[in-house]
Order: sequence, then C-alpha cells, then structure tokens
Amino acid sequence: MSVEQPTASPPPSLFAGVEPLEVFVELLADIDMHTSPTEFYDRICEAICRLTTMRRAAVFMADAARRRVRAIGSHGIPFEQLSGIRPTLVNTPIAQRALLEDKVVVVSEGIEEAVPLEYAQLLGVTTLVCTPMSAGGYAYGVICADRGGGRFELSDGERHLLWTLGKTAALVAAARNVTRQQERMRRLGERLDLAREIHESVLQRLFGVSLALGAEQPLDRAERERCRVEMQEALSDLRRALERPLAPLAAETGTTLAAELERVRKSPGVVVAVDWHGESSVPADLEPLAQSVLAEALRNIAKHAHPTRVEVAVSRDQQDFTLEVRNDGARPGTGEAGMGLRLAAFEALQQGGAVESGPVDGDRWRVRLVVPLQQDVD
Amino acid sequence: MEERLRVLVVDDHDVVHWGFRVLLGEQPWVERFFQARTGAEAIALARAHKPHVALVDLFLAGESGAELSAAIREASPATRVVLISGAGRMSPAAARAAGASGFVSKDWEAARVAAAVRRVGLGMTAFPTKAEQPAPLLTEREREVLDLIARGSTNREIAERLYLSPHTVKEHTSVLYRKLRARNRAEAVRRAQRIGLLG
Repeated sequence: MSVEQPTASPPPSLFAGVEPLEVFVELLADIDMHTSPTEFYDRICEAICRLTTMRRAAVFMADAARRRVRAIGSHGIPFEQLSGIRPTLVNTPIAQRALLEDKVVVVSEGIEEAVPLEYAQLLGVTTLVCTPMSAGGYAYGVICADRGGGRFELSDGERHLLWTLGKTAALVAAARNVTRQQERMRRLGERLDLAREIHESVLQRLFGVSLALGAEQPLDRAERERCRVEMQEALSDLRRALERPLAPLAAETGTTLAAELERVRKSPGVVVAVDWHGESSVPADLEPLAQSVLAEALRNIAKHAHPTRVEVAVSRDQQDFTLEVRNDGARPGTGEAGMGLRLAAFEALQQGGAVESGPVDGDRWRVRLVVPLQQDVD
Repeated sequence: MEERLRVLVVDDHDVVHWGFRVLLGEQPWVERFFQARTGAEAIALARAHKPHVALVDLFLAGESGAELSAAIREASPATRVVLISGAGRMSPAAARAAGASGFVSKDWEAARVAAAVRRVGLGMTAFPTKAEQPAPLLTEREREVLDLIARGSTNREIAERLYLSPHTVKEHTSVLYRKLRARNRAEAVRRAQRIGLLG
C-alpha cells in the first residue's frame, strides 16, 4: 500500500485550549439518533486528525455483548479494512500499556510485537501512536493513529494534546452512552405505560365480556346491552392508547413565543422583523411547539445561511394557528430539515398540524408551522 | 348429588365481576357467589362465608394478589385459591409458593375458566398446560447448584459434589444471582424460596 509522508503542518499547540472542544462540537453537532456508532466514531477519528499531525486514526472499543474488541470508527483508513481485525489486550501490548498507564504510547520499533500482525501488515505502519480513551476510572477503548505509514517522532506538546483528546473522546463517548441509555429508558417507560393502559382497560373489558358470552343461557336484553357498551368502550380505550403521543412531551419552557420573539428581535446581529397579526394569541397548549419550531428555524438559519433579514409572522384565524419564519441568504444546496425540525414536525402531527420547510423565491428559505385549533372528532 | 361451591372473586374491575356473575350465576355447581374489590373486603368475606374457592387477581390495585392469597387462607384455611392474571404467566411452582392451587390466565375461554374454578373448589389443581407455562428460570444444572447453596455448601464442596471445576461453579452462581436478582447466597436462597424454586 502507498505510504503517505506527513505534509508540513503547523505544530500542535502544547496548550490546546478550547480549540479541540470546538472541533468536537462542530463535528458532533448534527449527530442524531439515526447516526450509526461507526459514523459517530469516524467523526471522533476525523477530529483527532484535524487537531494533530496524524493522518490516519482508528478507534478500537470493547464490544461487551460479543465479548471482543473491534474497530468501531476510523478516518484515513477504509473501515472495511479494519472490521475483520480482532485485537485483544494480549496481542496488542501497546493498547494494554496505554490503558494501564493512562498515557500516550508510541512504538517505532518492532511494531509487529505491539499490535496484531494483520494490523501492522495491512496498514504498513512503522510508527504507531496509541492513545487511551479512558476517564473516571473507566476505559472505553484506544485510538490508534499514525502519519500514514512512515517513521516519526512525537513532540511532548502533541503527546499531551493526544492524551487530552483521548479524554475528550472518552467524555463524548460517555455522554453518548448516557443519552442512548436515557432514550432506551424513555422508550421502555412508554412501552410499560402502554401495556399498563391496555391491561387496565381493554383486556379487563374483553375478559369480562368473554366470560358473559361464555354463559350457556342466552343473555337477556340488559346483558347484551352491557356487552355492546363494554366492547365499544374497549375499542375507544384501544384507540386512545394507540393515539397517545409517542414524541417526548414538551417540557415547560418558562417563557412564551411572544417573549422569545421580543428577545430575538432585540438581540444584536441579523435584523429580525416580527409581524404579529392583530390580536393573535398562541393557544397555551401550542406554546412549547411554537417555541421549538421558532428555535429550530433560527438555529438552522444560523447554521446554513448568511441572512441579512429574518421575517417572523404569527397569525391565528378560526381554524388554524400559523407561525412562519422566512430568511434570505440561504446557502445553495441546503438540504432537508434537520433533526430538530423533524422532531417538531412529529410533535405537530400529534396535534393534527404540520411543519413545512423549503426554499422560496431564490435564496429565501421558509419554515412554517400550521396547527388546527380544533381537531376534528369523529 | 353434585357438590355445590361457594365462590369468591377478588378483582378491582367491575366488568370482570359482572362477567363472572353472568357466567357462574347459571352454573348448577355454584351455591353462592361473592365479590370483593379490595384485600380487606376479600378477607372479611372469606372469614364470614368460608368460600370453597377464591379467585384472586394477581395485580390488584396497590395490593399483591400473592400476599392476599396467604391472608385469605389464614382467614379461612379451607378456602383454596386460584390466582388469575391478565399479564404474564406463572409456573405451578410459583403459584404453589404463593399458596395457590391454580392459575388462570385472562385470555382463557370462559368454559375453561369455569372448569378451573370448579376443579380447585373440589380439591384438585388447575394450571396452564406445559406449553403455556413460562420457560424455566433456571437450567437443570443451575437448579442443582442452587439446591446445594441452600444446604450451605461452599463453591468448592459444590464443585466436588457435581464434578465441576470451581470456576464453572462460580459462573453458575453468578448466573443464578443475576437471574434471581440477588446480591449474595442468602438473598438468592430467600428469593428462590419465595418464587417456589426451593422446597
């Protein structure tokens, strides 16, 4: 394989300051629940390479379920090349040392004895840097990095920077684990609530009716009527259970859409014009949704546009409540709505409404929330 | 002449009481039918009328059906209990450990429920078929290890007795603790006794 020699790049700062954090935040900002673990750790590897003189990096972590260590993300190395490698702490002394001593270990001689042979041969590594990904007494894994195959020396500054990045990566991995755990708990809680609701209503009604219908004697008029009512109630209970909002409930925000718009309008930066039609008021139950759509729309503008002006229109008629956010300076190629807006759209759907977003009039972009004030009841 | 039975139904759902009333009200073998919505009502009725059989919902609002079974039998020792539930399954051993002589699932057909109540009232037992029962919590080997733990054997003694290595015994005990949600041997034995895994 080709060996890429390091290109001239500015030496990393001994005191990395907040730059590593900024790079991590930038790379991980649009991570959402659909991001695969590989994609997540690919970005960590990319951050390592952007912040140091490393050209290739791979994260190896323990897979508790399968009781093995495996590559879980990479940058500068096709992931497929790593996915077949099954290192252990025994056949990877460099990782063992990095984790035990909690320090960055560099090996330039006898690399075949420091890592599994297939890893050394596959990548043509001469000098390899192994950084522990551990924090708070918990070892998450190691980051193996090199400059593309050649021999190199690592300065004290870069060694310290890598060690710091290992800690940051461990922190990010821990935060991700906690978030995923919370999401699992939330889903489990929802499932339990649903099961409880069906058990306490539908199942009991069906059981009672089934006992009554199991009687050998014909049911009298009152008993037949009771069966009809109980079945109807069971159907309604079931429908209510199925229609329960599945999106996380909006938290109390402690503010209002009007107050938020006023704050945004007075904030320095882009001109925000607010058009609040007449006496339109925001229904209390729509406040959290309206605020989250506004926040997400403004967040997307800051991230994906160079606006000179943002226009916000709030209106309400007998049928609908509408919030519309328009901006100019949308960058070409701005794609579909981000996760925040997609979640808001899901929340709107639970209330019979919709969130649309897309380009209008050339470089302008529009986000619009429309929610019916009275849902149809059939 | 057919023996007629006094039946007590303990459930906190009105519709379930109504269903049993319609079903059991026509059965020639039912002498009297009593209904209770709480544990206190059930115990009072059991003490006063000495029912032959009590159907007790496993998940009464805020009360444990299993514990209520014991209380009913204390109030009326001749009363035999059938546990009834709309969620999950219960093994005969677990039901017996709770002092019950039968277990009925709320997805059973009415005729089968009535037959189970009658069987238990007449002194027999009524449990789901093998296929309907939950998979055994412990493997045969884990049961053997648990029995020896309950008799006070150390891991080394268990290893010698079962011709296993101490390491294997340790693995079995770890699995046992996890399955029984116990932190130590004493807790494992207590929990196993409570759910009928130990005599």
